Amino acid sequence: MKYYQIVVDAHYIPPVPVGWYGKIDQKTVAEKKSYEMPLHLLFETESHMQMVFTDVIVFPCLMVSGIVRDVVMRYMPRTGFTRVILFDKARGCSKAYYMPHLRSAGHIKKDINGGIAVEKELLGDKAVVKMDGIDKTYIIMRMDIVESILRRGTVGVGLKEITIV
Amino acid sequence: MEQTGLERTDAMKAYLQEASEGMTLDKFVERRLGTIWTEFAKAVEEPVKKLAGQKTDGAVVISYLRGSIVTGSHVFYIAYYIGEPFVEEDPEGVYLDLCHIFESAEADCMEINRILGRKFVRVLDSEKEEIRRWYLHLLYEQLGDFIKPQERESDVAVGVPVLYGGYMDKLHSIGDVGSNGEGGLT
Repeated sequence: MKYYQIVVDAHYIPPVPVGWYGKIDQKTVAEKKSYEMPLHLLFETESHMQMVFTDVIVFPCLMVSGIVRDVVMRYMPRTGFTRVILFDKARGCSKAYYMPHLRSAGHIKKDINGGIAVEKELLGDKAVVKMDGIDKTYIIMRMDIVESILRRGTVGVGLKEITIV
Repeated sequence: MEQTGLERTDAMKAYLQEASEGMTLDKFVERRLGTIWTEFAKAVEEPVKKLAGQKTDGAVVISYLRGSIVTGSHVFYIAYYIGEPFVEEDPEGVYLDLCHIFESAEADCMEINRILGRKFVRVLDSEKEEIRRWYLHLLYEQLGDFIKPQERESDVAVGVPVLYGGYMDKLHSIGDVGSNGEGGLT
């Protein structure tokens, strides 16, 4: 089966929370146990005219909309989430996101074409896997869960196919 | 309704479905399907027959991948399922890259954007991409309606049924492939 790296599609400008450092940055999230994370968080977003509340956000960490969370829960029912409200003050609207607590499954490799390669053993039978790179973390999803997410009319989901070695 | 920042896309879709200088979206879809469905049927015929082989039960499923609209690869997954489609974890199947067939469909999106520009001020990249995904999905969906099952003398199926639809989505029959390689898609 195919696997994809989940990103935000380059045509969309996702919301960027203000004051996220020390709260939901990769290091803090990785170091804290899921029960040490607050249940709810609220951030204002940076103001941008073309900002779209995409269903997936990967910066500063992976956050997904309620629709995507429900799909992830169907495939991985024991996944814990922290609720994060992103509030766009300029437009006066907000959206709830959910930060999944995923453990890193290992390190990715670069393939010869500059893309990403992942060892099949590291993926196991998981539908969603977090993997470490040199400078950032990668979220890898299996084709079936990706199709389930897309068929629910999600917005702004970008995909990069990865090589399995 | 929840605000996403893409509130205009519904109005854009409605505008495209109305007559805009005689070219409605339905006509766009019909025109494009008219050019690609024969190539599509030709491309899938061999893998379908190969997967059906000498089998007498199960079904061959041609499924489009929404993910391939996102990546622009236009890959279709053709697989043989013994039981219910998409339940079997690792069915015998192939990924078919049909990027060359859908090149013209991608070019349609430029024309659609031009039509949208006549009514909507400053169409955003995100809106263009939403419309592109919607249009290509319409094509994928209706491609199955374009392929009609070959007419048979009797109503009794002669071989392995061939189903079409979205991956992990609804499927419908578009024909069957006989154990002697007969039947197929027209």
